[in-house]
Amino acid sequence: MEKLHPPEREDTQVVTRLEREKCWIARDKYFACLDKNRIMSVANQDSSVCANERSDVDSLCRQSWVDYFIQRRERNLQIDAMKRFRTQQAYDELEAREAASKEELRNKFVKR
Amino acid sequence: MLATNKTTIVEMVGIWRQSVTLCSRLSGRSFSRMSTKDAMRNAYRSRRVLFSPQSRPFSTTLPMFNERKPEEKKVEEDLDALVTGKKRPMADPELIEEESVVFKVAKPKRRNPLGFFNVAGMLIFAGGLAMLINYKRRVQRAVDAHKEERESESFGKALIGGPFQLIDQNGGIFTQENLKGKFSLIYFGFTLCPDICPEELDKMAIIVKNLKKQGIDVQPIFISCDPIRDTPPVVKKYLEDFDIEGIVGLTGSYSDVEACCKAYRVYFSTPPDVTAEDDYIVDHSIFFYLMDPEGEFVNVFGRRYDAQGASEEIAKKIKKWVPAKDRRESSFQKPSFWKFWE
Repeated sequence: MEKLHPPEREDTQVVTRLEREKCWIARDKYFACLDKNRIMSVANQDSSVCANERSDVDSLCRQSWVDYFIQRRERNLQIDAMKRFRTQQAYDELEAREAASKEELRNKFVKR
Repeated sequence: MLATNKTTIVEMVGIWRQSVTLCSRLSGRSFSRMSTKDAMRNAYRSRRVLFSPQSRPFSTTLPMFNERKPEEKKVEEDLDALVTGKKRPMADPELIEEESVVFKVAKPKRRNPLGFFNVAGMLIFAGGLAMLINYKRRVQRAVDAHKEERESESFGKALIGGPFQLIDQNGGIFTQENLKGKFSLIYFGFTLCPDICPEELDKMAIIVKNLKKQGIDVQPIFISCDPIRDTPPVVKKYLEDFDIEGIVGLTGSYSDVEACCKAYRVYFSTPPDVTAEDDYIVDHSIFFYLMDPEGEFVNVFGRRYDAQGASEEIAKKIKKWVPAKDRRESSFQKPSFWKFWE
């Protein structure tokens, strides 16, 4: 059975532009603190790190938003780390291949 | 007695040698011990004899070669003057010509460095070649563009869009018929979106303003993917935060919104059993959909378009748009060979 919204409900859950921007500023501060302490995953840490900023965020933003922001940040950091790792891997591989070919070339012309 | 600069010495030596051979040939004796004067006199005389008008080609046909008589006296005088050293040998053109043939003074003939070719011809050839290559390239480009257009024409029309019935922020009914008569830009979102929907709606504001500046009127439409929480008054209050002229905010019952999202191929993750008080984020695809005055789909713009890029692209599409009945299968326009700047 489909759920119909009650037609007379007031606009109680609207978040205004101002509230949104306050939330974003608090979030940015919190994330800056996390970056300074080099924390990627918030779930595994104890809550004493960046506690002040976190409380600001919790008060100014909706809970679903906070979870969403934190998850998104972690996901993006993981993706960046993976990208860096992969490029470093590719670079190492390339170097190794080049060194191997150089060795081969050198060995060809070595006087025996 | 004799002039002593280099060229005359060479001349004299040559004349001496020539005279010896000539005189010996003419008289059948060898004259190795002739005096210089006699040798020179003989040489000039014999040369005159050898190269006299009568022995020249066409001398009997061309009268000008025969006009020698007044000069003959002068020649004798000149000869004596030359021999005695009173007069330096003048640059008689005929003599010089003969001498160059006889003495073989090797002055290298100045050759044209290009040889057989000439500059003008080469330039024309190069220009023609460039025009040909440019033409081929333009034809290829035109073929590719035409192919792309043909492909894009056949796709997209039936895939996106369709009938729907929703309620706008003022409580009025809005269906696909309300899309007709003007171009529309549709964005699917929800009012409790953390940061993406506000960003996209601000982008939409800029797009609508830019298009207005170009004289193009586009109807901006916001459709909520979160029907449970987004009631018409909620949508109205939400949209007041955005400075978008003429925006229409649509919502409705769960099934209606679901049907509309399905028609527009919009993914959204709102489960049907949440309540208005629940706190959740709706995961949805982030696109702008451009619809034409016949209610048909034109183009979709994703997140890689910024406001400027999107407005340019939309303006382009709108300018190119032709109503369905006037639409003909686009014919291939062959580029002109001469208009290489097109």
